[in-house]
Amino acid sequence: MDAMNLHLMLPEIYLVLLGLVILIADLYLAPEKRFNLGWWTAGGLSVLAVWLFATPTPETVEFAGFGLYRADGFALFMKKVFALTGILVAVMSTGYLKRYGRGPGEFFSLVIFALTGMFMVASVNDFMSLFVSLELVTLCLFILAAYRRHDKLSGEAGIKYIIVGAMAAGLMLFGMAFIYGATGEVRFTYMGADGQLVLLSQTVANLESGWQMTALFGFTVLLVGLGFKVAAVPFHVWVPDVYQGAPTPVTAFLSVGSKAAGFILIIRVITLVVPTIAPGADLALVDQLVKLFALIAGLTLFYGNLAAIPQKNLKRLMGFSSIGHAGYLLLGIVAVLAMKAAGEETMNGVSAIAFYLFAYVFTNMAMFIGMVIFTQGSEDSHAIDDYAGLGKRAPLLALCMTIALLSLAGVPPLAGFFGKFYLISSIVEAARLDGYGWLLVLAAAGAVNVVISMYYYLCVVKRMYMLEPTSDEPIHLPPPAKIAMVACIVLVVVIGIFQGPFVQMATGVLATLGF
Amino acid sequence: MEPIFHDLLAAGGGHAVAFYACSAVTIAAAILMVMKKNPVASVMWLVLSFIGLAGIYVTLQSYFIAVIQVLVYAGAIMVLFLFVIMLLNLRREDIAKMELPKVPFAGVIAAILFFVSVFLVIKASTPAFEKPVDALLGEPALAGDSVRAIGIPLFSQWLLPFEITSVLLLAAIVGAVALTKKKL
Amino acid sequence: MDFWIDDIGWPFIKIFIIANVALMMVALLVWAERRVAALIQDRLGPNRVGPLGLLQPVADVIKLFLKEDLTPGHVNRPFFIIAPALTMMPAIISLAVIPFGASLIIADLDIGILFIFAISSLAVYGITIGGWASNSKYSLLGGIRSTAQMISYEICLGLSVIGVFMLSKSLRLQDVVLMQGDGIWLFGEHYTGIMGKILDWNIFKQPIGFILFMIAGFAETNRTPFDLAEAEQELAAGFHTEFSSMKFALYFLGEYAAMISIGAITVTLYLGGWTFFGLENLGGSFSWLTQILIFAVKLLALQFFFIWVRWTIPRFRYDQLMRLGWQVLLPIGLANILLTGVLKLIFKV
Repeated sequence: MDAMNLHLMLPEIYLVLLGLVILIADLYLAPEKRFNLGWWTAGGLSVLAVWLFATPTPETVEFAGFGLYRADGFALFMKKVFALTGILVAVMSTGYLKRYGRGPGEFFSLVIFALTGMFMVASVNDFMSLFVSLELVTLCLFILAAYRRHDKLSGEAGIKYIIVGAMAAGLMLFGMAFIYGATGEVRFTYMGADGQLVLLSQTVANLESGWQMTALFGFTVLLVGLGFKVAAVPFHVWVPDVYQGAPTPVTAFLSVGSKAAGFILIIRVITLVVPTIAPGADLALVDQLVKLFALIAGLTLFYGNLAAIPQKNLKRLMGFSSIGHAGYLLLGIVAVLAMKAAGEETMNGVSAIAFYLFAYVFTNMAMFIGMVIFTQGSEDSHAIDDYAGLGKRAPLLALCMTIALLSLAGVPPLAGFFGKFYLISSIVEAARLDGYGWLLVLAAAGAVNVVISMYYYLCVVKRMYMLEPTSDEPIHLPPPAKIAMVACIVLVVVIGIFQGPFVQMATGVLATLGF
Repeated sequence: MEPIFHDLLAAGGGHAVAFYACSAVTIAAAILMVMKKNPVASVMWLVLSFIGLAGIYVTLQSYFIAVIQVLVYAGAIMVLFLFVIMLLNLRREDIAKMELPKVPFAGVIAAILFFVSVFLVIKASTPAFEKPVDALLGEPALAGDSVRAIGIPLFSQWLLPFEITSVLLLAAIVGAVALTKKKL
Repeated sequence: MDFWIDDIGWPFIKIFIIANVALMMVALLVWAERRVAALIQDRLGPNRVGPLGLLQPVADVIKLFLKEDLTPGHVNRPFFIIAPALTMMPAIISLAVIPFGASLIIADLDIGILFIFAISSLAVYGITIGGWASNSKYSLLGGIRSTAQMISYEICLGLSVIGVFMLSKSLRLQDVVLMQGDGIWLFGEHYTGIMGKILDWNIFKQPIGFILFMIAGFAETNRTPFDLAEAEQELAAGFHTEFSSMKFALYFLGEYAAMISIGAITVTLYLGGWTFFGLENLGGSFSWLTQILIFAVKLLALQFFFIWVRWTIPRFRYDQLMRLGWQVLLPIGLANILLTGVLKLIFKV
């Protein structure tokens, strides 16, 4: 607990060094060679990904950084997700930036620094590291979102993102201050006076009721701040504009990386800080949290999917769809919270979220790579109507995007279907608890939304195949992007058909969630 | 915080007067900051408010925090604010073109210094790593040495957030250049 | 009652003495500047009022008081009035933590140097606000130039002294003074010979830091070669163009007060403060007088150096100034910290 244990933090150290190498190499490379830095980034991150996948899932939680950093199964799993996201973002950005022609070194180093923040987020064990790590992610993504500095939409995206981010950060800090005030502790797991490890949730459970109330008020405010990060309704208003305005690879990064980081933190706070209520104990507050989250999850599901229907711009549509997906992921959170309120430590919701995020990375990334290929790295033709007749112009691209859309919608046997399936079944499981039968309504809402989302995703597919092309211009598929996209699609199918190892990987995170 | 505050008021007389005077200045200046229409005036009232806040820290005997409050907020951030507000009406000056120094010699020296220092730091600090943090924290602080009381925990127990902050600042610098420089 | 005597009474007396001595020194410095300038330019300088012209500053002040205090109609009045005072205040407040002798210090704070930096970081407001409130373009330009300059060089000033505090392991200025001049530590041995004592001064242990501190000090006080804020040719005296009478005098004297405070800090940090190899103990119970004298001699020597530089070296161009600050001094300052750490570990100082 009280050691630096630098070896546990090697992935983060490696990432920072990689970022610095890219930044410095950018200064010394010839201008036309600087765009190859994207391949350097992808290569460096691939090494990291191989390294992470070769690391065995830890059987006990290990602590580093004087107890402020936890290396556990969940952190490792999420780091794998982030590393893969990083590789795909680097691959799709390379061609994009070559076309845009501005500052590859800065772009890729910021991507890597954002990844560093996400890695730290996955491993945080205290509120201070949580705050600075999340701010690192937000700051890098803000700059990346505004990277097309002469593009008004991009500037708007950046400004909206930073202002909303600042507000969310303020709320989070406010919430943290309350929790610290109530418990006198900022670490999630720490050495108690008797030399035993203590979870902050135990400390909260042992507080007097007034202080407990203070702490739970803190959680609520903190979770509102995190709600901004994951784009839960009613904290979602920034999403469509930011998704539309940001450069497409950055939108992809935002939709996966930033969302996953937000959910990790929600899970960390809920598993480590929110107390598990012993059966019969008189504490209705956690129950209130369940209701609050159930309401937010339901609203997010319906809002995201219904508002996506009239969209004319594919990037904007993806923004709303991402709100919808946040709704699904929140179902897992509701399940975990309901279990906690009933005094059970079953965390199936967490493994469902882990599996969903893993599947979501490939699905969403395939979609965004497809969009970057289709627009040839410009930001001009994101209208859904432009995709008319894509099936004839570029059959492979159209096929890949169709599969990605079907997986997003949740068509069996693709990965997206099983992600939604596990989340909804975790809710159904929670609905068996005494007094939580009403959660079945939420499960039903999830199922209804699969149908709604099917409609607007299939509208895009319809345009690709049923309409005549508006232009005969051939679409050039650059080999690296093509390979990455096809690999994603293959994985989407493989994860759907052979779930065994992936489900095992996702349930592996449960063992070390606590101590 | 509570006992100090209690002692302060119990001691009565001057300290309490100073505390309330600083509080009054802080609050009054903050209100004026909000009410002023002229942004420059707002900035100056905010500076006064920060100085009042620093005064409150002094009466609570947290000199280090007090000084940092003035140095960082009043002395650096607000100057930047003032600067920007004043500049908003002005034509931007062209920034002198910066050339990259092409001195491999300097790079070699920097690399040598870097590795020597890394080596020495690792060598010198190995026992410290084995030492429990509580022992470091428990070292008797010099009487009234608030710098030590803040410095040692910051660079031992709370080193991790500090280091993440350094990456954060680097990213902010890179971003500021990337967003504002005409040609990259 | 103790509170009123110990915490209010004595400090007020000390503050009164030190502030007034500082103002006297300012007056002396104005005279010295003119005399030295004359010396360097092979002229006589003011030598009519009093012996050697020593009463010239008194005459100047009377003149400035009697002049009409003109406030132009186009200025922003409240700021215009307060700005000159804002320049003068920080320089004098800084003297609060300077040890002039073993017990001659107003506030022996454990954060001494940080206090000075905090206070001197406020000095920029006087010039900025003065330039802005004058509502004239020369003044505004002068104010902005000076703001940019002071922000840039403050960083360098801060970085350059970190080495000193790495050696003294304390931010208390009295500790820094006492650490110097009692013999140098090398490889765990204490050399107390006269050479060991001389080399123990921080100017020898931190030569790079000292040079950086002096350069940044010149910039912070807006002295030549960094006096772009008031470049007569381009800006018609810059930020204080519109000020007259005592308002102008406050700016004018504020510059000298800042020189004294920077000089006092330099003496304390790098030149052994009030000590001089045992000489400071002379005079038994009146040793405090010896200590003040030692301090004053060192300070005046340094002020002579300031004046000497002003009348010898031409002004920088603005871009040269900024490049020097950010691209030369800042990296050197950082390297100096690294170097100090490495050398400290090697020599076990």
